Amino acid sequence: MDAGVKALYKTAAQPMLAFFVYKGISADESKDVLQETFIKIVRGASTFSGDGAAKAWIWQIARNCLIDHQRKKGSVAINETAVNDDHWEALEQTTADPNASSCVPIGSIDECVSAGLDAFNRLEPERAFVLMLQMDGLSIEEIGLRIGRTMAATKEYLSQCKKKVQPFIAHCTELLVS
Amino acid sequence: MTHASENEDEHWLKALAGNPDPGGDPKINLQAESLRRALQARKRLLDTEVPIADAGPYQEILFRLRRENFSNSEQPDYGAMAAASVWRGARQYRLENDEDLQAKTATNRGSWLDYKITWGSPLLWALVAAIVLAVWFALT
Repeated sequence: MDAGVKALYKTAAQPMLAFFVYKGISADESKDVLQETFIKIVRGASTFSGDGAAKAWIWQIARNCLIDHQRKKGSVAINETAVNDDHWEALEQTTADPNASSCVPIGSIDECVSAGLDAFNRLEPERAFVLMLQMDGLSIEEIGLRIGRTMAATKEYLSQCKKKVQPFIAHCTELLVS
Repeated sequence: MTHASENEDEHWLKALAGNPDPGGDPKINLQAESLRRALQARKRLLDTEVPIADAGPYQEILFRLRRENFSNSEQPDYGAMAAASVWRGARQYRLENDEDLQAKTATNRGSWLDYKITWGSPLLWALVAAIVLAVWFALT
């Protein structure tokens, strides 16, 4: 068993620790969640049916352990379904307005985009996280493993993320391009 | 989703991942690349918080697995063997020096040690236990 745990640790521990921290928990907490994830993987290994990829099963356990940890702490991330389409329309109208954002002094495009990303991250941490994975060059499959979606659903989700982030950053580059 | 918007999304996402299309829409490239820089800065900041997956967390996981009885089943538990040996020795010594107890436990006898080992010296048992424990420490 130790050899199996060692092999899994070598390949999965670092990406999992990064995943936990990116999802908003501290370094110490991420080690605790990693430990819990490994315990559950070993405990569940005998019951793993073998249907579907082992990688997907392992990441599912990691996600569940993170959610359990956040629930215990009472810090579950904002539920994305809480923002419905009507709400988004309203948000787009306010945040996409260049005049609305001009009250904040922005020195350069990068600063403007960075401020927009911060605002987006506060409202949609899961989508900001997915955009970071895309920026990092992860494949659709790898992103899907981390968010628990199929490849097709992940592709669609990425397109939605692009659409959702636009109102927060579009005004930064519009003037320059025109 | 239309074919054009699909292409635009793909173009934007590629630029975000650091592979912009040089012949593509400059507006899309500019936006995606500036977002890429912002995300990179954010990631750099977060990466300073990410612990290293070194031997520390690994040993903690192994310790927890062993504590919860997920250790290798093929490997003998030398510690338990040593403890059992000491306990049996003490029990045997007490049995041989206590006739009442001898009578009471006569029906409970069953282990190989109870029948075969008849050493009466606690000093001898302490020596055996010390040797077993030394072997255990050497092996673990």
